[in-house]
Amino acid sequence: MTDTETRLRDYLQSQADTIPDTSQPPDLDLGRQSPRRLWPILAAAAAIGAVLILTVPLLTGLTRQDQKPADKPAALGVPYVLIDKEQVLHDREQTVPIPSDHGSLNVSEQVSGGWATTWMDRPGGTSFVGILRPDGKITSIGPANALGVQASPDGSQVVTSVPNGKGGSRLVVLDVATGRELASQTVPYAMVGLLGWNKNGIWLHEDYAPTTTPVLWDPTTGTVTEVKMPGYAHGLSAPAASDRILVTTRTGEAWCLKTGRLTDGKLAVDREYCGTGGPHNYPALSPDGQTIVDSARKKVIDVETGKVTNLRVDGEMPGWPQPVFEDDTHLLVLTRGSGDVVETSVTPGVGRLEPASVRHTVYRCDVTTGSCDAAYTSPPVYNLQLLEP
Amino acid sequence: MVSYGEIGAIPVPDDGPAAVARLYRRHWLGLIRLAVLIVDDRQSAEDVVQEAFTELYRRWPLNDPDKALPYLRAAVLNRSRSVLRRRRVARLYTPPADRPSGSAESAAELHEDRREVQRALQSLPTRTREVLVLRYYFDLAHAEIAQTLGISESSARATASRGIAILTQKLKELR
Repeated sequence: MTDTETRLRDYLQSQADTIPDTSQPPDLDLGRQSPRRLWPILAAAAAIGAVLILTVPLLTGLTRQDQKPADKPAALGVPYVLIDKEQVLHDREQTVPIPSDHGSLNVSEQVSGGWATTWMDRPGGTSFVGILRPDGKITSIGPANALGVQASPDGSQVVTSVPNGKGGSRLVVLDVATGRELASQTVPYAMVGLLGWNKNGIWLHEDYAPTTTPVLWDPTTGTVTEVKMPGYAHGLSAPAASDRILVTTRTGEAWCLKTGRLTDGKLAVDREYCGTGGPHNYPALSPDGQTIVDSARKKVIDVETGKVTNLRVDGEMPGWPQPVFEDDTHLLVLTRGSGDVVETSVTPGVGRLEPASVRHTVYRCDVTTGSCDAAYTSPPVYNLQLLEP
Repeated sequence: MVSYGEIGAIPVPDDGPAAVARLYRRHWLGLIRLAVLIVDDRQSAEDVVQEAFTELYRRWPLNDPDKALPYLRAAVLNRSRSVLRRRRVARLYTPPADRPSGSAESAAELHEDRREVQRALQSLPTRTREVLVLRYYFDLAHAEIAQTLGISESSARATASRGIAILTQKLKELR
């Protein structure tokens, strides 16, 4: 454990201890009225509400489009997951309910015949790599205690890492169709962050290390290359179809996004875009390696010319989760603002706006012009996760 | 490892209010601590937790009773995020650590070393802070953090890892 981790744990513990173990909760107030007395009122109000819902559109001949759940799949060129009480994956014409009989399950990206996932057999249990099939079934592949998953450029293989408990990790390449182990490599990192898999090989770094450096493993030759990069700030994007990568470096408040290709074990930088202040740890690069995204400032940078284009999208454009490229020139951006807050309950009588479930709007931006249009607005859900295609 | 409630199966009750009340008694302490680690003051934290249980009550029964605690965690974090967003809009909020001494018990008791960590943590993006709290106070696995926040497991791990790196850098700058 690093000094930072020790200090963080100490601070969190001390702050949490301001609520002593002996604290008693205040009375539970489920809507300012006794729940038992509330039931008949809610039932009556719900009945009135139902009548209104049925009759008002008939009387007016209109329905408000923005209040109808958008239950039709979006015409997005990438898979996405709607996360609510249940998770549902949408991938073009396919809708796949994600099974919930497990500790947790996270869909990562598309692979041959399905979608790569990591899942736990029970809360706090053992983690595995799994392939979510179109019929909603999970095929578990590879070793137990697998951390992270990254698909090969053609989607036929995945790589995962397994900590060995001795300060190292074993990287394992698995065949998606059979689950067979195709290659493995031990690296001296207690935890590995898998960052991408492109034409050069598999990009990774040591996780939970205050200073680290990008590492490239080529499973076809077994070569492991540490790419020296002063100021590397734990951010790397490696589009599958390109041999160009994008990294984030930082010195104090000054940061740079650098693209380049690997030459003789070093990154030959062909474009730098720098600034100061603000977080910049989640770089995004287009599939062809030609466009850098500066999410925090809503800008895109053409690698060849250095031209900077403003993205005309309403609301805050979060750097995280990263925006996802639909193709080389179209960027899907997820925004979420206070205007998206909706009332989730159909039960009248409690009547407050609830921010827990919101409509998420996905904008499609043309990175050559900066124009952006709303491509999809979700029904109220906790979260919408865009996946790499 | 800090426990903030049993994660095992919760019996499916017939009576919604009674079931929610039982969950409230069982998980209130852990959830109030989760909220206070994000929003930094107890009053806001109590409001956040109260509202999370109100929402759970409205949605009761859940399809899967095992999802009650993850649901509550997510609801608490969603509401904590809204509190922070409202504060940013209002620009009126002074974090406890920056208030004059004695204005908050927690601030008064904080050693300077902890104040530095608090300031560094407050300068991180909210999501990063949430991940670090879930990871380093509640000791949740990355997969569980991912499920709570509705992100991929790799994003959860990367965010925690990068969060520690940024925190290290910020702490150096504060020295």
